Amino acid sequence: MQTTDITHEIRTFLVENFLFGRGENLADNEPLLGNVVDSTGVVEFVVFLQERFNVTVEDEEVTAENLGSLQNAVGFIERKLRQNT
Amino acid sequence: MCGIAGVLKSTGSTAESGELRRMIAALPYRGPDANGIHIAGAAGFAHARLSIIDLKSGAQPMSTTDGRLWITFNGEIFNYLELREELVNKGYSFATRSDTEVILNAYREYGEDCVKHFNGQWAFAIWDTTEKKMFLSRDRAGVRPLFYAQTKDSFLFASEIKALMACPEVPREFDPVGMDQIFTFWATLPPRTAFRQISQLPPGHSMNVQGDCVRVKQYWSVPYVEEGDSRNGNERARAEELLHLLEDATRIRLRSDVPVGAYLSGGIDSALTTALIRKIASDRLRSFSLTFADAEFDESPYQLEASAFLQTQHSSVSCSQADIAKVFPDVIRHTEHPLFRTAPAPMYLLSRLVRENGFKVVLTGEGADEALGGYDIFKEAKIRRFWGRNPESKWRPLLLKRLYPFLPDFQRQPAANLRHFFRVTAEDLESPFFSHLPRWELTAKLKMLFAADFQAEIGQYDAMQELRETLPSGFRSWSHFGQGEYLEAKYFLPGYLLSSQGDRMAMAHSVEGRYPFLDYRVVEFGAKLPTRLKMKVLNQKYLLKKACEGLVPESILRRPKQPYRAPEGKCFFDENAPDYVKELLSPDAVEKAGVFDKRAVSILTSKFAGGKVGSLKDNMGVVAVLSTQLLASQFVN
Repeated sequence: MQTTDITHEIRTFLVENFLFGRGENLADNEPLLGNVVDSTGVVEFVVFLQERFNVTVEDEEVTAENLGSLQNAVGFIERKLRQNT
Repeated sequence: MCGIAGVLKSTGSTAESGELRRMIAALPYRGPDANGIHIAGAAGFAHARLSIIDLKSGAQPMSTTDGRLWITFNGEIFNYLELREELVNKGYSFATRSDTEVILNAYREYGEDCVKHFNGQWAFAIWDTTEKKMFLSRDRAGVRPLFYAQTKDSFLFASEIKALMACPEVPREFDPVGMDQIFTFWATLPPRTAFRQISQLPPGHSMNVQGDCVRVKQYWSVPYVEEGDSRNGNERARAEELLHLLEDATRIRLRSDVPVGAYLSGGIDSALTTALIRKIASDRLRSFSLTFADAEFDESPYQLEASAFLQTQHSSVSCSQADIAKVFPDVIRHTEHPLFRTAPAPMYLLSRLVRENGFKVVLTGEGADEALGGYDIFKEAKIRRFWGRNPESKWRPLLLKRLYPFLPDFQRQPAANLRHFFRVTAEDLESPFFSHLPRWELTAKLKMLFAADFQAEIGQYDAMQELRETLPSGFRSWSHFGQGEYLEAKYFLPGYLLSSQGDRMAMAHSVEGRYPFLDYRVVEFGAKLPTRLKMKVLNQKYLLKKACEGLVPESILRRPKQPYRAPEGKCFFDENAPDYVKELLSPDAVEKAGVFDKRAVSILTSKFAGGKVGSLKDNMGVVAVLSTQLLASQFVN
């Protein structure tokens, strides 16, 4: 899967689910946790990542380094996909 | 408890009875027992009466015996008997037994300072026929509402906005800045309201209107102090002092010529209020409560236990999701304000139950959380500040799990996420709004739902900056706890809670709520209390619990705090949901109202329509959009 595809998929999910479709509000480096993704939304975000990309996300992996921005989330998924192959 | 309305013509013309009739006719539920209108030249008053004190001779508008002063009054002056005696000793005579006449004579004696002598809940206007001056006032806590508008030739006032809108010259438009404030703080910053050119008199304020000159003056504010009163005195003595105050606050709130009932929620505050009524009045007391089919919200076991312990004759009404959806349009007609939760809807059903049982007056436990350290937002702020002092600590943020035990979605969160949501930065720690930042920032995200044109009208306006500029001098030196209490008591309590769940829902069924915890003596006691006696470590309302010992069941004292909540967004997406929901949330209706972006609303509602429960933000969003759409259909051209 290409980086641009992963970025598009995650961006679309975030924009539709947390920003009411207002995509102009989401920069690649915009903080996600506790900002775009609210306190109860993180489970939804993690479930989406697991189901869409067929990866497992552990609780301790919910960190700013992994999911703190769109950019970081894309990198995290790319690493996970590499591990799976 | 009543509805009031009035007009003062600034151009010298005479007030018109037709206009006054139209205004008061908009508020029939506030005063089903009698109506009155009086015109004195440029000024005219209207009154809809709910008779509670002096049933025979308390009709309004009322005048002094010499006919110089006229009054229209909504509310109660609970210490009217003491004031009356004081005034009689000063030579005043009375033609009635009402508290209304006490206001008139107190005004004659003390002038505008008369309100400083009152202990009660009021909104009134007095017309001085000699000086051609109108004096209006609203109680300290903001229990009773008072709105006003100025047109090119009139000053208009009323208990509710809909009475002002009965006058054709008053615009029926949303105020984008007011809406921006509501979509931040849940309430506007008074005098602003959700509607353009309609203002509210802030709690603790009076105003003078003479000709076209309007002057507003604050007569009371909560006396917060730096770190609480550090006077020595053991906890037991302080608890007894608090209990004594509450007992007297309850005693004077039992003054009524009709029977008084009590709300019993299952929590400490209403249990204590009920216990104090039982202690003062020996009659068998009637109590009322809400129950929910959904166990997440239901508190009926505690209600029944309290009722049995306090030997009340108890009645309850069950509230379902369908009930909430069904009555929501009526609820919004009464709140006249966008909502973020459905909680007022069950309160609407509760006041109906009270009225159906023949009661016009109830005492409730409202106000204890603000004055005595009860709200979870205070606990949340304490934990966040404790963590913020050592942000690298691994274990301090674990305390976040102690928050909101009643929210299953919250408890399911990975601790890592809670750390991000409640993150504390150095900048946050310096903010005067530290306690409220998570709530306000979450709410403000809903502004993403605004339509581009509506947002353009708001422009670069910054609600928090406006609030920052209005903070009292010395605010930064107050205790952090006191700062949070101030924001809650000054804005959220009167601007959202008391209006949407207090006055408006009770009055919808012609029921008067009375609130012993909002007696100004109790509020002032709380403001001066050291923080450690309000929340000991994380034990909320610590001193109040001490005061309650032996008076309320032990199990209620020990139970974890469960704030009153009701089912939210999912109420409106059941297959049997009322037709209005789909109609008002349709792209056409959203576009027509002009507040929200139709695609954004469609994305939001499709989550619920697809069976999802939605996040906290989504639930707030759905309730906010639907309530605003209802307001648009009911109030806006």
